[in-house]
Amino acid sequence: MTLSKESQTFLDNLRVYLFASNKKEEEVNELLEELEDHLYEAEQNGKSIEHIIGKSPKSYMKEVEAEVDKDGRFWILYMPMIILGAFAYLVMDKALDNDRSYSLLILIGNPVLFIFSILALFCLYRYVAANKVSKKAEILSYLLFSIIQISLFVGLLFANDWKQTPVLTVSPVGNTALIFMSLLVFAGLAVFSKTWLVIVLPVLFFSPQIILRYIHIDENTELILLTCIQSFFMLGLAIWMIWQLKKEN
Amino acid sequence: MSSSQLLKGILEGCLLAIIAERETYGYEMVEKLASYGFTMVSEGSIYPLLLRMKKEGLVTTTSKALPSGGPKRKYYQLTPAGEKELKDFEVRWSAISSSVDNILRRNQS
Repeated sequence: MTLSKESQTFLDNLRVYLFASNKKEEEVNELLEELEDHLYEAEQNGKSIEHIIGKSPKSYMKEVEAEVDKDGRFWILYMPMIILGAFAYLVMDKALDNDRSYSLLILIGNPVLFIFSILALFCLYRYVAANKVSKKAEILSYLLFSIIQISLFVGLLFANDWKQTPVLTVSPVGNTALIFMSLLVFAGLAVFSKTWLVIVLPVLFFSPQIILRYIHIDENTELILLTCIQSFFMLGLAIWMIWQLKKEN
Repeated sequence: MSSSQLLKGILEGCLLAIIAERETYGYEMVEKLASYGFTMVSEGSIYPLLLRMKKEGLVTTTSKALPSGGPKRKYYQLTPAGEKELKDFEVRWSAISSSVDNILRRNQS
């Protein structure tokens, strides 16, 4: 069963759109299967895709979106897991620097920026999926998104240097416990997501930091360099994951 | 928006009537609608509607493998609640259509 490229693209876009709207996967799959079957039969009978979904793919997507249930697990399961993972990274990051103090700004700023980034990325996915966006504009918007995201995280680091907020310092024993817990979080996430990626990633992620420590450069340069490397790394990862998701389907 | 809301209500009633005849699947429903001249909506709009009707308990679905061995196809059946909704729709519709007819006819003469 092969669909025309136009129909297949529409189905892919609809899937991304619904995924980025936190819709229940089972419902989405059922509906897409039905629609695929329909599009196939319609094409066999020489009908155009416009005949099926109407003139505007966007308004059809909105029509479907209204009827598919939200996946409640997003806020109560996935989001906390992402934040837990982010904190585990933060702890490891600090531990490698022998830094045991966490400022209030960093503690609040990091999860807030993480949530903001994910929601913003979802908005971007929805926009690209629902509107006729050229490949060039699509790449440009992802690039722009990553620049904004990196600037925000760098901005947080600078803001932390500039504005003093209450600092929580963990005892050496407490810090060891935190590192241990972070490792547990990585392991737990690896088991949950059934991928070694979560283990491999911290290794890849933190190795530039360890390497940079042995190359003596100005502290500020190091900070910016590291943040850039790590942010690009994370963005690359996010794109890779979405690409995988698209390929799977 | 309100005119398409109205159309959806009518489409839902028509789908109930078509499924009541015998269990059927999406593409067949659309063909039947078209054979009666109901072509005001794009074909794909039946799917979000069918999903809602399923959630409201008006229809149930069963997946059956195609004879040709392709992917499974979803067939719809009416539930007792669906049958009742169809009866209600018939009553509502005949009231609406006869009153609209009367109004339009009076304006013509």
